[in-house]
Amino acid sequence: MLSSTAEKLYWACRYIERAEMTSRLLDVAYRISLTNNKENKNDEWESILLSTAVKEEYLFKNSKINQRRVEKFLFFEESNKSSIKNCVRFTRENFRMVRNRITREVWDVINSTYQELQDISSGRYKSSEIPNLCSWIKQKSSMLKGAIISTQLSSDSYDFMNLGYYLERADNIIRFIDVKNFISPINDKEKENNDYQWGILLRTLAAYTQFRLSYGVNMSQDKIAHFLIFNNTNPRSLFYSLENAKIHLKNLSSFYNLQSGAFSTSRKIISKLSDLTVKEIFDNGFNDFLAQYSDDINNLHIKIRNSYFGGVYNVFED
Amino acid sequence: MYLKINHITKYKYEKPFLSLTQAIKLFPTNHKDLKVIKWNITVKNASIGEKIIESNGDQIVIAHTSKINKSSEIIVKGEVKTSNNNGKISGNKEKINPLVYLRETELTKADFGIKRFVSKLLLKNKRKNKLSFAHSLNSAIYDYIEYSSGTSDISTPAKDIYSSRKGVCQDFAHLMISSAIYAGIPARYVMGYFLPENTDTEATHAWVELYFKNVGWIAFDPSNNSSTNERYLRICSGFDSISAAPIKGVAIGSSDEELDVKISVQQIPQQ
Amino acid sequence: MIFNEMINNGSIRKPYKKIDKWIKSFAENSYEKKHQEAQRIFKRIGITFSVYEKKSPQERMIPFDMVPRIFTSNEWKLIESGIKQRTKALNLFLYDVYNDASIIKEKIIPAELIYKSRAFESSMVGFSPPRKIFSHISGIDVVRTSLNKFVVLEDNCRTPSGVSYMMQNREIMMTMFPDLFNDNSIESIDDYPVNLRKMLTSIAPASCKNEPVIVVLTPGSYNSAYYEHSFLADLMGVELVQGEDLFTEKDKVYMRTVTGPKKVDVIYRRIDDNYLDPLCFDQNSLIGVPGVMNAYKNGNVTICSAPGCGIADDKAIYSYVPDIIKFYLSEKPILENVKTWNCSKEKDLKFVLQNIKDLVVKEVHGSGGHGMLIGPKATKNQIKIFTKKIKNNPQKYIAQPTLDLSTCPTYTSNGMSPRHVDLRPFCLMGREMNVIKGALTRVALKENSLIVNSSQGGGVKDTWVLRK
Repeated sequence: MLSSTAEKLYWACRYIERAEMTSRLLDVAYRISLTNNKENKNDEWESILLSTAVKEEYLFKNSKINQRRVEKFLFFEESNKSSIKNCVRFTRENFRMVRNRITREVWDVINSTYQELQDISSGRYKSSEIPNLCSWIKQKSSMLKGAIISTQLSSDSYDFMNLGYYLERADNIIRFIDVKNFISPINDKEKENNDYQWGILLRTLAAYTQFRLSYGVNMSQDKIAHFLIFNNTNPRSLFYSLENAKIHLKNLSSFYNLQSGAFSTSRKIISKLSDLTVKEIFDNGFNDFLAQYSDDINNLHIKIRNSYFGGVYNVFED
Repeated sequence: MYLKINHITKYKYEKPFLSLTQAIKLFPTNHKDLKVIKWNITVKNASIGEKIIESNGDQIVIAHTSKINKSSEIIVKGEVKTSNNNGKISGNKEKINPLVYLRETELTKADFGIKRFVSKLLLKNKRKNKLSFAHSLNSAIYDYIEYSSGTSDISTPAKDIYSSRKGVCQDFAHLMISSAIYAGIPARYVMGYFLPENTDTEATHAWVELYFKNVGWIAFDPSNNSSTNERYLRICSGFDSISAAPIKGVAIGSSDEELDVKISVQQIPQQ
Repeated sequence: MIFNEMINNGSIRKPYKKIDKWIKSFAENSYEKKHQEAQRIFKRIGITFSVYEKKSPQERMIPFDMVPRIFTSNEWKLIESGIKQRTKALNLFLYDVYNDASIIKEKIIPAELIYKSRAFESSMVGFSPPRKIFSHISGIDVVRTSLNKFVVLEDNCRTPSGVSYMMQNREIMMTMFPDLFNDNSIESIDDYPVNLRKMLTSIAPASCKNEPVIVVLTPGSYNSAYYEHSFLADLMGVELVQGEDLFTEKDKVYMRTVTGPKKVDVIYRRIDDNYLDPLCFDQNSLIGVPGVMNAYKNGNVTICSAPGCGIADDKAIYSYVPDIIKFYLSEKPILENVKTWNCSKEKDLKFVLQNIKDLVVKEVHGSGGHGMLIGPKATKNQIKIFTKKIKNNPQKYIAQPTLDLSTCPTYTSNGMSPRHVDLRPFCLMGREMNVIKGALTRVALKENSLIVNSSQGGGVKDTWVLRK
């Protein structure tokens, strides 16, 4: 397989996962904004800009932060490389360039999503439609995933697509937990309100019910942190995402019969994470933990790039 | 005359490149008045392909490196024996019909000013043959342009030189090519080494060759108002300075480059 | 008198009899429904071409017309032998002008016409490509002007596009109207990708001992023919690459793969000469492969088509093609040329300026129907502007009489109506020569229009060659 083909498959899936995550974040911010008191009305909109790492770009185009503008920026803005509209476009563009590696079913989903999104004009929606637009994106993203799982051969193409999904998801989970962190630093006084916000967070992750099934009705910061970081049955936990990235890297190593630097890096990250506990994370500082794993994920991405996307003999490194 | 050449070209890149491919034409043109005693090209960290002789007689190799790097260095070392041929190049294995060199490029396109300049000169020389017209043109350009570095750059076209009347050897050459083509004489750009009379002058040099039926290609150096002689070592040619560039390179994954060149051309005693 | 390919002298021509019945069997509105369905299939498959509007690329579809264009096997025999003759002669011409130049020495073609043309690639002089073939794929545009007369409009020797439309048109017709293919005995075109691959295999460098590795080199997904590039790579089972996927080392070409470099032997390139190698041609090209020309000249890779082919399909050379055929093959041209006036000749220029309102004037280097003037349809002002342009740069223009292009019945908003068509058959030249039994028919959808180019509102039709 051409290195560039592998890279396109990988990025196609990173972008659609990013579109899905941005719509989930938009949804969270929207819900929080409905219940927030007046003084810090725009906090959630600022933190969502931080979590999607586009605050600087946003402020370059806009003088102040308000709901309507942030929504537009995250959903439709041309100049925002990570806007949902752009992500969908990039996914289609990447798949289009490797059409012969994907099935008709996969192509149909992304192509029709793109065409429909082209028809939705950025000026004409109402703010109240945002949750609908977001769930439409989530639905399309699930359809795409379904088409990939049920129609693609489980060969190297499939592994590169999944690597894209899981790397992006791991990266996003870190950011997602971060939003919660930004909105309300945890302290006892605000505990009640805090529980409510954790609840919203879980709902938007479509994980509320699953959480209760595993951890019971009472929410606590420790339980939720465990659920989002360590739970190996939660498809949106950090551990689950990294573990799956490792599995697909292992598949590639055996498919090509070449041990890759990316695989050994993923193994190291996973074993380091397995040795941690929630208590240790909080004791050592939650933000430090997030920063470190954000670096680790980025490092893993670089290793994948060096192992497979460069097309040079360096797959044997460390 | 025995000449010794030492030519080091260093490129420094702002960002490290992922791969670098260079076309290098720094070989003396084979012709009968030249004896190459030794000639050696090395490129740091790169693998070099087979030398081929291009249709116009230039010799070219491709150097490639996949090692991530921030610099590249091309080292040319050679010794040759030259003799004076009064500008007449014979024995160069070229296959291109001279009429091809009636084509203008962006750099050699004649504008109204150049056309008038040439027309006047043609009128003055109307009783002479093309070859003597060419000698007059060579002198006319030498007189018309003041040698001045820093007033033009690599992409300054002949018509701008005509209006500014200032330039370096490259600009003299472009204006000469532009004029000759307008007068119906096939003309080309030549790049080579030059043993200067004084040490201030650059040791790489540009001049031109014009084609005359039944005579062949004749070299002129409009920036020195002369033909070429044993102080000149011909390297490669083209339609203009861009097509005759002795080194071209494509660096993948990098941006701006910085160039550092060290050249020495020296006369050495007979071996 | 314009020749109608379906109705001649008031009666339906034999090859069209069954189609005529088929057309009549449609109820008025069901035809519209089928028409819509066809366009939908095209859109879903994603067969589009890109046009640049407002600086950004837009994807558009080429309108597909369901009424097929039909040739009898005898008609096709004539076209096929004419195309083969022309392709063969043009290849001998290409080899000659880049090597011995005997056609110039014999003064059949003026030297200046060749050497001053930018299409003449001087760096190819003295080079002999594998099998001495320069132009491996030709798409020669033919129009029909009467029952027995086919005329060549222009030659395309570089990388003619449109073959994917030919195949998709057939695919759609077979999906939508399978019965038609049971009722009529139609030559298959399915073997094109196999033949293309065979041809590319046959021109691999002599140094290549194993099954050659072939790639299709595309400028990228924004190119108007990107769909075709990926379609062909797909059907041949070879990689579709962009310049950045390839690199050269020690004069060999490699592609970057997930398991390391893999040597490439044959490049079917769909990018122009000028962008092929930034170290040899346009230095600013970002879509080429640095060093590929040296690899080619060292015999380590074959480029299809060879750089410099453009000199054979240059409009200024076109009028000499009958002489070219005579010179190399000692044969009479099977397909005629359109009478052409070269404005570079003084006599011709005078004639053109006097008769401009009856002529079609084309730019020598123009393509896609741009930069041309159709005299009988032009306004006084347009003629005035063009006259001035020709006078300023006579060597840039040629002129031809307006042709009575044949028509074919075509579905329009007012029902079936005759529209002008042309024909692009495809010819492959490797170890063997091969003309596919089918072609791309382009149709001018506007009434009376003669411009069939897709970039200017032309459509396409399935083209049938009937079995004997």
